[in-house]
Amino acid sequence: MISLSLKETEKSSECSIDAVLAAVCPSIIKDFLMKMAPEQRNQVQELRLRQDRPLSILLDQRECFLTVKGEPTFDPLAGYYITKTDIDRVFQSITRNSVYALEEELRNGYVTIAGGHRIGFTGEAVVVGGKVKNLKNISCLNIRIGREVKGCADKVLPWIINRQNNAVMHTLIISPPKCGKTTLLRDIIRQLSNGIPKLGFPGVNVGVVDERSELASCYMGLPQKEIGIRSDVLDKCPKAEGMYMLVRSMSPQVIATDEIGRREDVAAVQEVLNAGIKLITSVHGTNPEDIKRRPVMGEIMDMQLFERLVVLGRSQGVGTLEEVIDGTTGRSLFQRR
Amino acid sequence: MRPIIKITASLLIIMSCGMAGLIMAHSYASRPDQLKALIYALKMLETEIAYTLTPLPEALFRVGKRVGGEIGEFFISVGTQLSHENAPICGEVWDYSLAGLKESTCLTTGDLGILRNFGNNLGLSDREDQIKNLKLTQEQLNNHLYSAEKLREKNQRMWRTVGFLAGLAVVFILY
Repeated sequence: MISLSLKETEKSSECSIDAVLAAVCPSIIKDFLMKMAPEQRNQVQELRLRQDRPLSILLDQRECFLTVKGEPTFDPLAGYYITKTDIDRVFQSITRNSVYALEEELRNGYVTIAGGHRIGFTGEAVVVGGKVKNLKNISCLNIRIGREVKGCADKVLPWIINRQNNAVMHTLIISPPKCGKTTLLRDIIRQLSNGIPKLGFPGVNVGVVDERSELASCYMGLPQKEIGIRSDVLDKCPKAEGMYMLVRSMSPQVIATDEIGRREDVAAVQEVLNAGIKLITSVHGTNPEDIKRRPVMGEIMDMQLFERLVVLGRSQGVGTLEEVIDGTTGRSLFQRR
Repeated sequence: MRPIIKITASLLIIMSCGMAGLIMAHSYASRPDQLKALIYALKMLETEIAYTLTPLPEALFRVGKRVGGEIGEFFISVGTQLSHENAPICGEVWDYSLAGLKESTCLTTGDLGILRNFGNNLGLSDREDQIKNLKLTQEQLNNHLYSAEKLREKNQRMWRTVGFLAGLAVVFILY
C-alpha cells in the first residue's frame, strides 16, 4: 500500500471559539466572553441569545448563564440580559448585511458560517401559500460551536471494514440526539477517504450528501471540516436526490449521509445498494428495536440491508460505543462492558 | 491713488465676482450629473442584488468601482467599511458616509434625505423588498433629477454672466 503523508491541517480547538466570536458577536457580548478564562472559554459548546432573557451558554454539557464579568452562574437574575440591539447586531454580522442573499437559509432557520459553525434562529415566520417563505423579527439565536473529534471512529472502523477483501460494509449508526452521531460519521468518512494504514485499508472515494450542512459544514460550497482527500460533498442537497446524483456523477465506492428516514429515502437506499455502492448512514434512536417500530425505518430494517448496526449512547460520556450488531444475523459483535 | 492700483483692484474685483458666479453655475451643472451617477449606481446595485445575490460589501465595492467619481468613492467607502472584521451595521456606516458625500458633492439635503431612507433598509430584508426599495429610490431620485435639470437650464447661464456683471457694477460704484 502506498503510504500517504497527509497534510493534516491542525485546526486546534483553541482558536475556534475566538474565531466564532470575531465573526458573529457584537463587541459587548464578545467582551463578556473574553473575560472568561481561556480554558473555560474553549469549553463553551453553545451560546444562546434570547431577547430580554439572560445570555446562556452550554459549558461542559451544563446550561448556565454569563454575568457581565464573564463568570458562569446558575442564577438567571445575575446573567446579562440580551437586548434587541444585541440580537440585531449578531444577526447583521451573520448575514453580512445581506439578508437577501440568505433567503434559503432563513427559510430553513439556520446558517453555516465560515469554520463550519452553525447558527440557528427563530422569530416570526412569513408564510405564503402555506409554506414558510422567510423569517422576520428574529428574537432567538443559537450559536453552536462545531468541533471535530479526530480519531473518534477508531473503535468502530475495525467492525465496519471486512478485513478479507477490504470492503466497507453497509452501516447504520443508531444514536440518540447529541451523542456524537454526526461527529462519528464525519470521522468515519474522513478515515475511509484518507485510507487507514493501521488496518491496511486504502482510501476510497466517498460521496457525501450533506443536506443540513452538518457533516462537512460547507461555506460557499467548500467543506470547512476535514472530511478526507477522496470525499466529494453535495451540500444542502436533499438526501434521496443527492444519492441518485452521486451514483450517476461521481462513481463513489461509499456514499455517506446523515439521518435517513423519509419515504423517498427508501427507494434511494435500494438504488445505491443495487449499484454496488456501500452506504453509511445514521438515524435517531436508542436501539435497533426502537428503529424497527418507526414507519419508514421499519421497512428498511425489515429488508436487512445494513450489515452493521452501530449503537451509540452516553453511558460513559458523549459518543460511547454501546454495541455493534451484525445486521444480517442480528448477532451482537461488540458490547460495552 | 495711482491709476495702476485702481485698475488692478478693479480687475481683481471683477475676476473674483466672476469666479463666484462660475462656481455657482458649476454647482447647478454638477448636481444633475451626480444624480445621474447615483441612479446608475443604484441600477447596478439592483442587478447585483436581484440576479447574482452578491453580499452587500462586495456588491457596493463593485458598483463603486464601475461608477467612479465622488459617487463611486462613496459606494467603495461604505463597502470597505462593511467588510471590516467588526461587522458594523449598514445603516450606521451609510449615514456616517453620507456626511462625507455632502461635503464632496453638490447634492442637496433633499437628495441626501432620499439616500438616508434608502440606506436604513439596505440589506435588511429579502430580495423582493430590496428591489422595491431600490426602484422607489431610483424613482425619487429621477424626480429630483428632473427638477435639477430645470434649475440648471434656468440658472447656469445666468450665474455665469451675473458674476462678472456684479463685479463690474461694484467697480463702477467704487470708481
